[in-house]
Amino acid sequence: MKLIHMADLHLDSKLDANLPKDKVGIRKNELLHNFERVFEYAVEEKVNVVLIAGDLFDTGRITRTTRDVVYETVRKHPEIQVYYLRGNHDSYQAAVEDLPENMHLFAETWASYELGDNGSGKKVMLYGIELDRNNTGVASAALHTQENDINIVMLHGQQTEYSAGDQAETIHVKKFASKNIDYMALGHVHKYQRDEIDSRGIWCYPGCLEGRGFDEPGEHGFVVLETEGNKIKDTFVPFAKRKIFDCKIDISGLKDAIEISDKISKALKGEGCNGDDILKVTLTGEVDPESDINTSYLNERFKNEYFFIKIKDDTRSRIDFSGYDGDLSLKGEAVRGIADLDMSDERKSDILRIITRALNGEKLER
Amino acid sequence: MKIIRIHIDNFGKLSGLDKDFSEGMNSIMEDNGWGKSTLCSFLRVMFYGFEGTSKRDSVQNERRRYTPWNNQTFGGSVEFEADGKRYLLTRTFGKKDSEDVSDLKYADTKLPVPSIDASCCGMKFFEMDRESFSHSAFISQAQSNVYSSTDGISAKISNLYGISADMSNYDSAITRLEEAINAMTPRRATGKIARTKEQMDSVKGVLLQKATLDDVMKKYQSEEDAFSDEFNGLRKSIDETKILRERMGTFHTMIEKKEKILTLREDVRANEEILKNARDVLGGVIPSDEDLRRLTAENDALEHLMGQHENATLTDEQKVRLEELEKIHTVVPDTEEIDRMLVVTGRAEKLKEEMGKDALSGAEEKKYLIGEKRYGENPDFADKLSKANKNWDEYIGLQKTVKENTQEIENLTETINDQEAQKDARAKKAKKTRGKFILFAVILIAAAGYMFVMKHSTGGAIGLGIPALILLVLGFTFKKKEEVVCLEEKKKVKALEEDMQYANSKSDGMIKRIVDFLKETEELSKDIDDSDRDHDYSDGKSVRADLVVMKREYEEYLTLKERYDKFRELGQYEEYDVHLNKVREFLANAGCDVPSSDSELDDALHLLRREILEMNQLRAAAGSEMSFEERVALDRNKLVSDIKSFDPKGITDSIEGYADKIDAIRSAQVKVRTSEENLTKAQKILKDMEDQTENLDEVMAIKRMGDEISVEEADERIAKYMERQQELAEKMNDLSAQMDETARQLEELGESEAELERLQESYDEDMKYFDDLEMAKKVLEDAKISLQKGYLAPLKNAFDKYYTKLTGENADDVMIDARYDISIKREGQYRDPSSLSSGYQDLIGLCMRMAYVDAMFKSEKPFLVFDDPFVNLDSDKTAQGMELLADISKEYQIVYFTCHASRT
Repeated sequence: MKLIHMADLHLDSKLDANLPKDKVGIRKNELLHNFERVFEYAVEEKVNVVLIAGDLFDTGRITRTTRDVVYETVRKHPEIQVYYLRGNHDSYQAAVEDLPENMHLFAETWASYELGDNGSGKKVMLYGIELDRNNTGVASAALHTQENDINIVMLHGQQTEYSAGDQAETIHVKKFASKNIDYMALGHVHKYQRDEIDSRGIWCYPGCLEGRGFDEPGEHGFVVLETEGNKIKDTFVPFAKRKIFDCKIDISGLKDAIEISDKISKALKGEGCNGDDILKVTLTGEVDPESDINTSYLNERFKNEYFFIKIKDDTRSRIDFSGYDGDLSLKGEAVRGIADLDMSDERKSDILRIITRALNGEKLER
Repeated sequence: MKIIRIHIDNFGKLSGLDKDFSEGMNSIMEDNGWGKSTLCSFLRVMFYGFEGTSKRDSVQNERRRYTPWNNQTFGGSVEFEADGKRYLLTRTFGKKDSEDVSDLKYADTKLPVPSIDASCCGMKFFEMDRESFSHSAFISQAQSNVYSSTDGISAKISNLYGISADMSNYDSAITRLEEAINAMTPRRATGKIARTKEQMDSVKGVLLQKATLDDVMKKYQSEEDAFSDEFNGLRKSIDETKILRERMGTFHTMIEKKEKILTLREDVRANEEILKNARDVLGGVIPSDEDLRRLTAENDALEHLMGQHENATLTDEQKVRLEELEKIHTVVPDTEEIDRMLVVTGRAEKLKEEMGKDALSGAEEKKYLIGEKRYGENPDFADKLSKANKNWDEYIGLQKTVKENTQEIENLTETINDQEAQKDARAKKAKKTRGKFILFAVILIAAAGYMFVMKHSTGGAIGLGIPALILLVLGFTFKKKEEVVCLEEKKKVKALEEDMQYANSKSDGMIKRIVDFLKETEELSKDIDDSDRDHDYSDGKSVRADLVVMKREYEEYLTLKERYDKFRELGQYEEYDVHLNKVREFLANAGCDVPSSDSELDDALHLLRREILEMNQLRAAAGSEMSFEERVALDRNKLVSDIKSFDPKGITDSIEGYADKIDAIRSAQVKVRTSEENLTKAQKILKDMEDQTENLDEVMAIKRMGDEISVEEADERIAKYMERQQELAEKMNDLSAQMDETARQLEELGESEAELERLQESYDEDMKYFDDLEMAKKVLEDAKISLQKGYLAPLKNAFDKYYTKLTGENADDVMIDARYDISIKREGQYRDPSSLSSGYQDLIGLCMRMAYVDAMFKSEKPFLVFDDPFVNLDSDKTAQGMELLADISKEYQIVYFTCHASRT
């Protein structure tokens, strides 16, 4: 038996404010299309079951398009059973008439579904409960499984090793030890993580299917589960259409725009960025105050090479005031004037940079 | 530097002018309109080119302004000395810069001067630009009060005082800074920051709607939740009502069934009661029809006897009867013994009732016993039955073959007949042809004979005779060969007939075997099977039916056997069997035929009782010579006794006449029979009803709770719920559309929020940058001032010198700042000179220009051009001014233009 475990799609959510309006529209549609792509993958790989461990939607009200795409995609694949456990963001109450027949829900008490058998006569069982303030503390005690079955448990919340009171959506992993769990399919954390519950089973967050902001860089996708004898084998499958990179590039010592541009280009290639990706580049390091760090030029230079790139200057420059001793030029005099100013070194560098560019005849408009 | 001579071809109004200049003061006093300013401008233009060449105005555009009025060669030459060398600068001007021809040669050698652009050699020789020249060494009348510094002046002075080259970039740097500041400024609507702020305000304005839309959305959500809750509640109600409806449907059905069963049971009980009562009337002894016939016969005999009034002993019939009875009952039991046996059978019957459903009824027992005879004691029966069925199938097959063969034979026969008919037709035709031949032959013979006989023509006779002979031969020999037609078909017919014969013979054999089987089987139970069946097998129809019936009966037997075997395994069976064996033994001892069926034992005992009574009476009658009265009495007693035996309760006691008594007994018997039939019917109906009822115990246990609803009521409720659901669905659809629209607007606002974030970030960055720009500008300005302070003193000193010379006063009240701006202290405050008189401004301007010249030219002094600089001064100042010029002329060559002698 083959299953897909995914979570935290957050369809219809607001995206990173850095993206311009047109790109936001494209991304929203891509995130929605991802749902359809998962099912295309499921058909190709002969997956029987899809588990959605919460936060499929992001808001209390989703658009009609989103609802229709999700439900029709599920309906179009009656051979795939979908088990959808709602998370803290899924407050949308779809009318039950609209729910596809092959889509099954959970509730505030434990529900169980028999998914089939593992090919060797062992039942594969799925258990799930939607955690809230009332049931979080007792959820583990109320779970009853059979030792001889292959047991998958689905939850949405923050896993913790130790009890943290009865905070809603807190999953005390230790309390689920010795509950015959082979695989705990979690949702809520947007980064892929896995670890042991006990000697028998593991817990796993597949992470979100696609990064939505620069706070979600790295690989994203879902986990494919396969029953192998009495065990469940889990494999992470990267699936995001676009990767998000938050790169910090040290341009210490570089002075002109070409050098900096080349360094950025090499660094991004080294990171594996390609044209589909979304990049945030922060220039760091210590540069000469007279270095030409023109982020407008750099953003313009790279904007057509990636889906979206934003280059920010976070370099530091320190003026070597002593180096201007005896410099009778206007600039030298300006440096001496800057030295007396009551402000950070960073700002002093910025001002000197402006003065240098002004004296060099460069345009100063942003 | 000094001018040696000039030559003007044509320049403005000046034409063909030549002038030499000497060192020191060169005064040119001409009337107004002579062209002094023109000549001034010529000197400047020759070194620096025209000003305002892009202007359309012909005054501001010097090229146009000074284009010769006579349209002659526009230009001239200047011979001058600089750095110890003499140069000849010749320029001819066209309509535009590109048409200008400029030439700089060494005056002595007339060789061109390399590396100097003749069109703008002023930069080289004066080391300043045109504007700086105009602000220093060249004082035109129009600009005599202009004394501000220029970049060139500042730069030159800066260079002289060791200031770096970037000072010359100061103005452009400041300009860029100011341009950037203006472009970014938040203080003007055109500034980027101001525009960003405006955009932000606009977006904020749009976002003000968000709170409202959020509230609207919450309200919609709340409504939707309420609708959804109600909808789901209705669904739950519908489901519950459907379940209730089904339950009610089932409940009502079950109640109806229960009530019906109860009614039927009541019916059965009533019938049992009736039967019991009917039986009780006769005291449990129910006479058979035979008994009643006998009673009636007895009564008739008695009446007959009474009618005869003769003494008679036993009739012949009575004698035969007595003989018969005595033969059967060699042992004559007591009626009391018989009654005791009847009690035993009663007990056995009761036990049987207690033993329940596996106990076979009388009819069932009969069937079972028949079955035992036929099948139980016939172990191969199943195989034989199977074989009989196979035989039947084969028989059917054979019959089918016979039928098919018959049909085919018919078809073939038809074909053969057709062919034979055709053959006959052909044969007939051949015969006709032969006849014709013979006929013609005869005719020809006759003709030949005639010829020979009558005509004596032998030849003729021969001529006719030969053909006649031929025809004759043909006629006798012409016949078709015997045709043999349809040989194959005939062969086939024969074969089919043989097959049919075989099939018929075989199928007859099959039937015989089946019939033999059936007969043999039935024979086995002949002694106990009294069922009536038609055994005509001739058309085979009954055989099939009998096979079916036999199979069915066999299966029934197996079921009954199973039950009977179970029955016999019951605990009470032994006791039951003991009772019955006792009765059987008793009957056997009494010489009776012991019935094989348990249920017939009771009847056998009653029969025995009657026969014993009858025998006793007959014996009694035969044993004595009785008088008529005695015989009558005997018969009467017997009749009475017999009647009594069937009326132990004495229901006939009050009835006169034995016939009526018998009728009463008969009526009672009929009532019993009728009651039995009714009871049987009622029991069957009840049994059928109970058998058809699933979960009978559950049905019988069901009770009305008082809160049931009818199916119709449930349907009504469901319909109402669904109607309300429909209403809600429509409302929810409308609401959904509104929510979609609101969500769309919120989504747009969400994008606006994102845009606001972006704008805010951009605003913050730009504001920081703007602050940096302003600070950079200030720093740069301060840096310049700081630098300029270094070389300000010499400038001030020079100014003071010239000021004192010109005014006779010290210049303590005059302040020159690092920007070379002048302010004059008046009334305790420093004021801009522009607030003072034009004469004073000219004075300041002159001093400042001279101070620039002094500061800029340390070695190579330039020539100075003064175009009536004192025109605005009073006479005292003018005089001092002239003295100043005279003083200056000691160091500088001065070209001084004026129109008034007082200023010479």
